Order: sequence, then structure tokens, then C-alpha cells
Amino acid sequence: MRKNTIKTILAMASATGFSLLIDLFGVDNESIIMVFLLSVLFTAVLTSSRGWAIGAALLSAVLFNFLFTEPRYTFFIYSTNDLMLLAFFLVTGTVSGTVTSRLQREMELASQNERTARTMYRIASGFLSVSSRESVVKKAEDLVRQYAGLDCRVDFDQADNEKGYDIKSTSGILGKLVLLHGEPENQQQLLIVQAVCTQLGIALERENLVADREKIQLAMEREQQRGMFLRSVAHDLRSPLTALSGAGNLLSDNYDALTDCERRKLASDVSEEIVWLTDLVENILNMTRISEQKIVLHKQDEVIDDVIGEAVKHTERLLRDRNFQVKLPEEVVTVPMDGKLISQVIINLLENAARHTPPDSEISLAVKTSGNLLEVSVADTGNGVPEAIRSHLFERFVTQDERVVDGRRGLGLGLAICRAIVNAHGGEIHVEDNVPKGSIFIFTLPMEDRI
Amino acid sequence: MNEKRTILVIEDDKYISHFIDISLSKEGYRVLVAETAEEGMFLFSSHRPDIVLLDLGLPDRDGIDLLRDLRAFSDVPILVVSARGQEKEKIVALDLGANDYITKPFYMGELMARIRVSERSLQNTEFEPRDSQFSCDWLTVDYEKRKVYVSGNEIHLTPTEYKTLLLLIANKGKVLTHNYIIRQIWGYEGGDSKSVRVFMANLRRKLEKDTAHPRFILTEVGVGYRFADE
Repeated sequence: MRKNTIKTILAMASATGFSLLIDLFGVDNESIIMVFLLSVLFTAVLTSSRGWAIGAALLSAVLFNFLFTEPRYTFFIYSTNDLMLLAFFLVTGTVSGTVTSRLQREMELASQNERTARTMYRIASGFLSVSSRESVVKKAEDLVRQYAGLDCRVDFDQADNEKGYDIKSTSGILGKLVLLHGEPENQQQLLIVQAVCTQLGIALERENLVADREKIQLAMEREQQRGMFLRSVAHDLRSPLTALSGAGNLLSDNYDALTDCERRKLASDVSEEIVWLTDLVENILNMTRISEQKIVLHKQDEVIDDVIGEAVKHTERLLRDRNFQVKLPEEVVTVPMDGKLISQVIINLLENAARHTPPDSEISLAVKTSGNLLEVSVADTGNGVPEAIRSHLFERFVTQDERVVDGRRGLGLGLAICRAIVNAHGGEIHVEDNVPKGSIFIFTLPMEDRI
Repeated sequence: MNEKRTILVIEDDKYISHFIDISLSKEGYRVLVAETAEEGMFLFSSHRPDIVLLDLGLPDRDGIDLLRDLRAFSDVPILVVSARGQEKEKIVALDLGANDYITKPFYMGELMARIRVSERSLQNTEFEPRDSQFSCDWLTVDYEKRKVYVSGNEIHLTPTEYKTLLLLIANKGKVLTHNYIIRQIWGYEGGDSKSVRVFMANLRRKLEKDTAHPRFILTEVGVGYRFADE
């Protein structure tokens, strides 16, 4: 209102001033009235209101009458010409003012509509780039703040009495968008809030669908893995069990018929098979413990000598005939770790080395510190890792392809367990080529607990 | 051994108790077998065995409870035999006063060795033999002169290290938990076990020829230390 008054007065004043100026040079009334007509149009454009345009036309008529018609500085009109001029001016001014102001209003409306459409588009596309529930919710809050200038939060605990805007989806009301300070002041803000609610509903539903699909996929994978695992276990258990029951039967049924030496051999076979089975069971137990994502580390500061000693004690039987060497650091090194699990890693690496290398190859276990890391390496001078399994060596169920179909192959769990354990400690494990021949398995452990 | 030692086996698995029974009987022990904690308690009170082999997973009660009850009135050596391989449980059992802990599956030879260790500790309490020196392989400890020799060469041990070595030798064959060692050597409880480990590692470096294959000070990872008994 105030603004429009000022605009109108300014337009009128400048028209009057300009008219007075050109009047000094003897310009005709017909031209002067054009100046006023122009100011009426300006007023219509500036205020985009019909009322002000008509007001300006009337005011112009009065001013023109007072200032420029004979007799001057009175409201009388002597000449019919001037009267006609004034009458036509009034009609023209009113009509053109009205038309112009309406045009102006429509233009403004159109640009406002365009702005709204653009905002809606930004709101809708804003949700496309974000994933995960938290970031979708955060995006919604950001959008309301950015476009409506309102602070809000999203509430999933459906308190029915709470004020707010429903976030709907096809599966019902998901939650509420609650404005923190007051209500929207105008239609525009309300529209934005509602649009955000709608888009948020769609985005949340999309997130739910994605999560469901992931869950299903994970379950399927797990099921598949379980199947594979059971098949491998069954296969690997069958042969030692056959051997065991055979030897046991032979001993109990034909005890007297067997020579002392044969009995002893059978009995030692039985105990050897059992040692193998025990290892297998130990590995399976470890694997289930790890694959259930419940790997619980009982971390303590262990002296690395102790852990190495434990591992060596367990593998002594396998390495008895090998050229086996251990190199420990000079000083006493303690590292936070789950000693039992790390020694299992070393046992697995040593067993692998013993199992997959020819009897004349050398195996060495070395420990050293480098910076903030402890580095444990098991090197052998065997034939190296076959290229075919190299890239997925640390995955589950990877075994060396042996030509014998029914041969004992192990479950291919050992290195997968190693990786899981080392990673859980925040370390890394990898394999390198040993120069000139063989391979080195190296894993690192951080020497300080970062937690 | 002129009299037959009596061993009470509390174990619910028939196969396991059967072969333990046979192996122990062959070695000349008198064996009593109980399948439940209740039966075990009854046999214990009626026969007063010299050694108890206790399984933790019993059908009627937890073995740990039974262990606590037995310790309340008896100092009889108790060897825990269990399939529970967790260090925490070993420590609980040892701290409650179990003399040793054997994880299933075990080798009979190992069980026998552990039983012999317990027997020796029985004799020790009975006769208190106090030699003037301890000698095993390349390690010699002269109690009177307070000197320690490795391969005939005298080595220097700090007073605490010497005290620890004596503690280990006195309990040789038996697992000593970190807590137990802290309590015995430093005289307070719940200290940090890291310092014990470092301390032991240092002691081991002075005594052992190959620290990766220790001859004397054996580590039970996560539980404690054992001094080799033979």
C-alpha cells in the first residue's frame, strides 16, 4: 500500500515536472497529455494494480486541468477542445491502465508459477541422489529449511495427537513431519511442506524396498553358502570316518588274527585320522564363529613369543621333518590381540605351508616390527601359489585343484579364517612371491589399540 | 608306589569315561566313575579319592559349581576335563582352585602326565622334600647360594625374576594363571597382565635357548604359564 502510494506519487511528480518543463518551450497541450498518459502506464506497470492506474488517470486529469488548461491554476475549462482532450484522456488512461496492470499481474503469476514448479522439481529430484534412511530424512529437513525457511523434524514414533503433516506411502502412514517453530505463513510454504512430505513418503518406501531386497539377497547367499559348506563338510568327513570305522572294526573283529605290528599300525592310523578330524572341527567352529559376524575379540597385550610358541607347538608334528626356522625380534614386543585367534592364524599358515610344499622345501616364520605395525611372515620354498586361485586365495572354499577327485583337499577355510581374524584386528594379510621360489604369506597387526 | 591311588572320574559321556577308566586301571589306579554331579559328590564323600577328574558339562549341575563346593572342604587335586576351550572358563576353574585343566580332545598320554604331576604335588605336601638344588637339562638352580646356571654359566636374575622362577619350579607341571602369579610375586590382585607377560618373556630370554620352542617356561595362551615338568 505504502509502496504503491510512493510509486504513484513519484510517477505523477515526474510527469508533472516534465510537463511544466516542456510547457516553457511552448509545447501543445496534446503532447503534454501524452506525458501524463505515459505516467499512468508506468503506474500500472509498477503497481500492477488496476485501482492505482485508474487513480493515477483521475489525478492526472485533475493536475492537467489545474496546470495546463486555460484559465490556468483553476479547475475551469473554457475550450471545448481541452474538455474533449480530458474526456478522451480519462477513457484512454483508464482502459490502458487496466489492461497494462492485468498483463503485469499475469506475468508475475506466470513467473511465480514457474518458480513453484522449479522448486517442486528440485524437491522431487533432491531425493533421487540420496540413499539410506537417515540421509533421506536429513534431506527432507534440509529441503523444508531451504525452500520454505522452516525448521522441522521427522517423527517416526506415531503419536496421533501430535501436530504435523502425515508422511504417507502405499503401505500407510510412515511418520509425521513436525514443524518446530509455528505453522507455514502462506500457501507457498504449505505447498512446499506438503510436497516434501509426499516425496519423503516415496523415498522412504523406496528405501524400505531396497533394504528388503538386500535382506532377501543376503539370506539367499547365506543359504547357498550353508549348502556349499555342508556339502564340503560332508565330503571331507566321510573319508576319515570310513577309515576310522574300518580300522576300528578290523581291530575289534579280527584282533587275534592280526599281528602285533598290524594292530599297532591300525591304532596309530586311527589316532592320526582323529587328529585331522579335530583340526577340521576346530576350523569349522572358528568359521561359524566368524561368519556369524559375532567375532568377539578378547584382546589383551600378548608377547608375540608366546603366541608364536603356541602355534609352533601345535604344528610341530607336521614340521618335524622339515627345515623349519623361526626368527623373532630382539626385544620383547607386545601387541594387543586375541592370542588364541592369532595363533590360529599362524597355525593355519604353517599348516598350509607344510601341506602344499614338497618335503624338501624350507619353511620359515619371521616376526618384525615396522613403524606402528607388527609383521608376521611365513615363507616357503615350494612351488608358489597357482595362478588360477591367486586372486581369490583368501575367499572361502578355495582349494588347490588336485587331479584326484576323491582326494583329501581340506575345506579351503583356513585362509578365509586367517583373513577374517586379521581384519578383525585391524590388520592386513596378503601373499607375495618368495625369491627365487616359493611364496610368502604376510600379515600385519597394529601395535596399538586404536579403539 | 605301594598303595593304589584312587581317582574319581566325574564325566557323563560313557565312551570317554570308559576309556579313561581302562587307561587308568591299566596304570594301576583304582578308578571310580560318576555320571552326575550328585553321584560324584556321594562317591567323593564315601571313598575320599586322591585325585578328581571333573567334567564341566554335567547333566544335573555345572561342574564349576561342583568344583566350588569341593574346594570348600577339600584340598584334593582336581583336574578339570572339558570341551569348553574358552580361556575365560579355564581361568575361572583355575582361580577357583582347580589344579589343572585339560581340553577335549586330549591324548591319553597327556592326561597321564598331568595326573602324575598332581600326584607329585600330593607327595610334596606329604614329605616336603627340599633339595638344595634343582636341575633339569641345561638349567640349574642352586637354592642355597641363590644362583642360576644356564649350561654351567652363571646368569644374573633380578630378585623378582628369581622369586618367579622358584614359584614356577615349585609348581612345575601346573598351570599358573596370570592373576595367581601377580598375587604371589607382587602381592596384589587384579594387576595388569601385560607386565607379567613382558616379565615372563624377559625371564624366558635369559633361560631358554630357543624362545620359539621354549623348553621350560611354557605358555598357555590367554591363561597363564606352566613350567615343564619333565
